[in-house]
Amino acid sequence: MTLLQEMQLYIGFGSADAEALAALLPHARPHFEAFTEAFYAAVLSHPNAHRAITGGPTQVTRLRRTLEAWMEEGLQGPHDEAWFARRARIGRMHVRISLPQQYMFTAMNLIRRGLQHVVAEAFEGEARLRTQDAVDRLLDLELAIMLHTYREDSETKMRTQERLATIGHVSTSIAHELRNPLGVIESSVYLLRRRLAPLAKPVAKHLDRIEGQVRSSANIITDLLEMARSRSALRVHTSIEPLVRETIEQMQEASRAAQGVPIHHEVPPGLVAKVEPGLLARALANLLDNAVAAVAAGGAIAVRVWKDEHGLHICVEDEGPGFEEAILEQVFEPLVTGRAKGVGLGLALVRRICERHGGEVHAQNRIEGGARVIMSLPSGPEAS
Amino acid sequence: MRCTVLIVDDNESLAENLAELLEDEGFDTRIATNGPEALELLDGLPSPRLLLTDVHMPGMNGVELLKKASSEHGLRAIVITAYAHDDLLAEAERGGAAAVLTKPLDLDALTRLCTDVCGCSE
Repeated sequence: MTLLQEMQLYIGFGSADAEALAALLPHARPHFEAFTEAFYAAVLSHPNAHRAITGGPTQVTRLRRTLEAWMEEGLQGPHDEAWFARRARIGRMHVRISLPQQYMFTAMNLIRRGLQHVVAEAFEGEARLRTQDAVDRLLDLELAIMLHTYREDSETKMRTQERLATIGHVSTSIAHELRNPLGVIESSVYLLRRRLAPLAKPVAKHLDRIEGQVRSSANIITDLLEMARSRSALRVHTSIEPLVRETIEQMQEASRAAQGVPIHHEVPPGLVAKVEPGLLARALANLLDNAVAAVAAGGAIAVRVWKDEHGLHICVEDEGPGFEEAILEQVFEPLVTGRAKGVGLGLALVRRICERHGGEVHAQNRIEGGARVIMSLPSGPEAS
Repeated sequence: MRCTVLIVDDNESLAENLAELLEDEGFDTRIATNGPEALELLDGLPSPRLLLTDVHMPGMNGVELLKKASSEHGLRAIVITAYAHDDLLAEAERGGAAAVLTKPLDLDALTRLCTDVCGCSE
């Protein structure tokens, strides 16, 4: 028995219901627009649900069309495996945009009520009862499918968590062990510089190169070890402008790739926020590192910072090719990378650092081209 | 008076590199690759002296060594660790470490620190 058959059996949804719903469709269709209106008004009135819809009015228009088609298909049937697969896909989209399920439930009830009103107006006697039952069973089935997609998602998340925990244990001990040989290379290069001074240009070039590579290896290790830490950020009042400026300067000093790239920053003078400065600088450095790689073929990078009633926002934009659409939703997952080089830790750590500040991070592609990442950190426990 | 630094690290190459670096800066150095060996060397070590030890070593770890060295020999110590574990760092500080450094090491900072700590010891 398939999952759909099992659900239908449990709910008692049968061919009589399908017939009743098909008969309801011509009566209900003229009301779809009003239902959709009420549905999204309800969704958008909850700040948490609203936050899930990041695409603004264009996305809402698209979602409304989807909902109208969804109602049409729900009443029309056939309620077969292909129908189930399409339902589950829509459900997964809700999961992907992190629409909290309680909002989805209450909004679905609006549709149930709307349809029942139509039934009450359009049918009488036996037919009314039969159609009312059919609407209830259909909506129960729809909810069961939605719940299934949410559960599927949390199971996937749990499996990923377990996998990461195992990888985490192994990789943190490897990371620690690697610091020792790196330390030997680093100190040997340091001593070589002294022994060979004054350095011939080609010798200096290679020593620079070894040092640069040792530094990036050390950074990967630091990222990995930071990923494994779980304590929340130790927040102190921090002047943001110097932190941003110094992070950019250090980046341009340490990385040859960053040297030719114009990196502008726009921070309100005197802006102070409660953050853990080391962690925030690390997150910003990781974003800049990605942005620098993205504009390798030319283009500029901009860092903008502002503060509002929600907290501190740090936005990094580049004029590169943007994120690959296929991985846009997952760029902050560990081990996901759009770069040929790289292990996919940089952005995962950015998210980790935001979470450790009680905040979040979002990635998008800019309409004018290039990527945009915004870190949002709520103000600390006391106003700053 | 030259200060003698006792370098303890189970990674011999790193210990030798640190020794070479510090000798450049005018320190005398000794190397041990574990805690018991370090304690043995300490007995005959002239003053002023300084212990520079890694934390994670098989057998006696660096924090245990540090506690013994500072209680029995009144030795000042700098502790180096690849693990930025907060509790371990706190323990090293409580155990009397003059400083705790995490790897990767800033070698300029390390030599400055050795000079400072040696200057105000014994």
